[in-house]
Amino acid sequence: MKSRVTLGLLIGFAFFVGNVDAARRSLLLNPELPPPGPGALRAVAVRDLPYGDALFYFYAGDYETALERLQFADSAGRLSHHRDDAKLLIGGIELSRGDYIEAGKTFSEVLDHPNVPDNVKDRAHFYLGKTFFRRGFDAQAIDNLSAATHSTLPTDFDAERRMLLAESLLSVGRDADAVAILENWDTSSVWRAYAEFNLGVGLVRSGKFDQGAKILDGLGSREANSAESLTLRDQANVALGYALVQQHRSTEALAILARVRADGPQATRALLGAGWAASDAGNVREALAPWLELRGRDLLDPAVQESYLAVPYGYARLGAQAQAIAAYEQALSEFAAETSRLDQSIDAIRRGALAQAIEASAQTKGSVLAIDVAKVPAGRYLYRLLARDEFQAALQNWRDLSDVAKRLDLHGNDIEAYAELIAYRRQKFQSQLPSDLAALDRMNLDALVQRRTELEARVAEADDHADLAALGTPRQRAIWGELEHMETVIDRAGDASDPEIEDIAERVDFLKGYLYWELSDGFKSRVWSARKRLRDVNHLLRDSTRSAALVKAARSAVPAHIESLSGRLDAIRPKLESVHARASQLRDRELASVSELAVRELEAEKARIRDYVLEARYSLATLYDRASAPVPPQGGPAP
Amino acid sequence: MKSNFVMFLQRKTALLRNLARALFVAVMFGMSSTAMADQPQSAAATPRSLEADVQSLRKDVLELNKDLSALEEELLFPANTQVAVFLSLDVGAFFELDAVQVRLDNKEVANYLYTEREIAALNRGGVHRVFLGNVITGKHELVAFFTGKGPHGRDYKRGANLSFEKGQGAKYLELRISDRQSAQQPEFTVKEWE
Repeated sequence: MKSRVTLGLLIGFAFFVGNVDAARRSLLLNPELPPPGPGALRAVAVRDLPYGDALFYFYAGDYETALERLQFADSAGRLSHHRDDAKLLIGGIELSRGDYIEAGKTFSEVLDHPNVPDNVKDRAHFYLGKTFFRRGFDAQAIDNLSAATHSTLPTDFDAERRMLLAESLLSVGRDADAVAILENWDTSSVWRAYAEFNLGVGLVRSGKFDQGAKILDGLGSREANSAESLTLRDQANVALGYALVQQHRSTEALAILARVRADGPQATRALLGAGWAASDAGNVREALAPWLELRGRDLLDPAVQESYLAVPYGYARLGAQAQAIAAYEQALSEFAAETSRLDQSIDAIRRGALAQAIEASAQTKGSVLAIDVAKVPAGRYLYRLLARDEFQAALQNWRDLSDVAKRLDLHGNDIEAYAELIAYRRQKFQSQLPSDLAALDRMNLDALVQRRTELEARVAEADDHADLAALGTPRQRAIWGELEHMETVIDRAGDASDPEIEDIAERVDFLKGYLYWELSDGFKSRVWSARKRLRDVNHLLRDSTRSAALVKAARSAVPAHIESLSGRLDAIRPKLESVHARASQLRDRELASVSELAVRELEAEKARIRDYVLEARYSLATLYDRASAPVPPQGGPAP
Repeated sequence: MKSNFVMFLQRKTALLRNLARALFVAVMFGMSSTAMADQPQSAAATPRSLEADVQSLRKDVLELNKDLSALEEELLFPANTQVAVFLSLDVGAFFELDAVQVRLDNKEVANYLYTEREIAALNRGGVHRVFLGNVITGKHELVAFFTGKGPHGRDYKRGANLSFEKGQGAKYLELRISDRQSAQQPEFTVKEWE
């Protein structure tokens, strides 16, 4: 009889361990959660705009664009102030995509730089430790996670660091050090709850029952508010309950299993365990109550499947052979129907139904791929599969590859446009250059520069010698010249006593005096204006000189640049074609792999049911054998 | 006396139980949770090589994108004419941004409506490149209009402008929305980056 208890424990325990592990990894790989890195970056003022630009896409969940922008900005030398931050971000994205080797290299590069600030060191050690942890290198994970202790990590990161450190320590057998991590750790942290759960289970597994049970009991009796904490609390209680059943401490097991929420996802396992606890204590009639309760529930649940064997087992122990036989036959009938439905689903998936459902779901927008499994025959088996990390990772890969293929399509169009642009520029330059050079020659810049220099000298001379007329208007200068000419004529006439000549001389003097007064008024202002205009001329001449130099330099540089761009484009073209072909091929392989995963999952389900069927047939045969024997049935009355 | 069928089932079940016990021991005592966590990497041979191929492709795609971006920038937005306009938020307690319109030399060059996710990204420190284009060297004027919800949830539209000189190098301009605590109002500025 104990073998059945063991079988029950095996199934129950194996399932809850698997689920918790999946739950934990789901948290780590949840695409809605940004990969590690950004939390600590918020406090840093953005000093390189391209870094902020990459952060924008990163926080918006577009990791591919963020990575592209970061790598381009880095290669163009535009991240002078955020080199380390950018590396941490790149490593974080690589880590979130499961590219542990590249992520490890990136974080190590950051730590290899001299004079790394403590906050950057902490983050790099944290990520590197996490990378080693994910790859299963516990010693290196411990070294790095222990080194990130400059108190600069954000609270969430530090909590995750502790959890990973505790698990790594447990993995290398340093139980006491792992348990010590729990001390002085805020009990409201969900990371602590994960650490406690994993430590508790790990210790129980390694034979340190009391130590593990104490931790699981602490977690299982703690007040919880969030859905995640409540689920973890239930899982801790189920784990401890099953462990207690295994120790034949049935009363304690029942009390612990009673803590599990009746409407939670662990309720069926708790009911199954409660039945085994009662049965182990010899209270078979009590055991039947939770087992019978389970029989009305979804047969997809392994606990429910097992209850189909547990119920007739209970009847048989009570000596109710007729009910036991009927229950086994019902179980066989249910298992046969379930196997048939599984076969239908496997067949449909192999014929491409799941692949079609996934392709159809890709048409809808959104960050989460919502697959309509109802379109797959007997698709209800796939809901559990959809929640698995392995499946989600494969789906995400498929989705990424689809995006990559689409982008590469667009790049193909871009490349054709760039080629046309280069050809146009080449043709335009060749046709434009001769006329530009001719215009440059006509402009005679040297003569213009010479004229400007002469004008500057004339203004300076006029200012120095107070040559008022030099800066007068053309009319003023003409009148002044006319009056001076008149003076010369009067002087040449020689008869100063002639009243007419005297009158003319006086009028010329008067007019010259008036004009002098007019020219002297605002002379300094005119000197200033003349100099300002010359400065403007200087600017224009400088621009013209620069343009002329550029045109002359362009005569040789532009064709070389155009040919260089053309060469680069030619080099990119075959790479693009090759990458595009690979992306399409990998996309198809990934889709096939997703279907294969689904088939494997359903085959495993079938195998489990096959084991139950064998168990049921054997028990049924034993019962028939006993019934045909002349000995009267043993045991208590049937319920 | 037991039938042959029953004896066969007994043998079969004993075998299954032994297998089950072995598995039980493996689950209970053998595998650590870390080993479980690493299972996806060592699951089946096909997914593993597929994963490696995907990683290799990703690397090549990134490299290709880098080359293409460099080429695109040199071709379409060379430094001597390039101008880029970015937008950033600092705090944002007095203003919830909906959209921004950018006019350069009195011509509309960008009009961007933000999603909730993008606003969250801006709030966390992201900087959005609203516009990348070309202008000739010399003097230019940039005007930006911001629309959204102002203090007390009222519709709010404000503008900011900047006259700038475009030289030979690429010109970066940042539209910055911040909180002016003293006036309990948002502040909109344009910063010129060297």
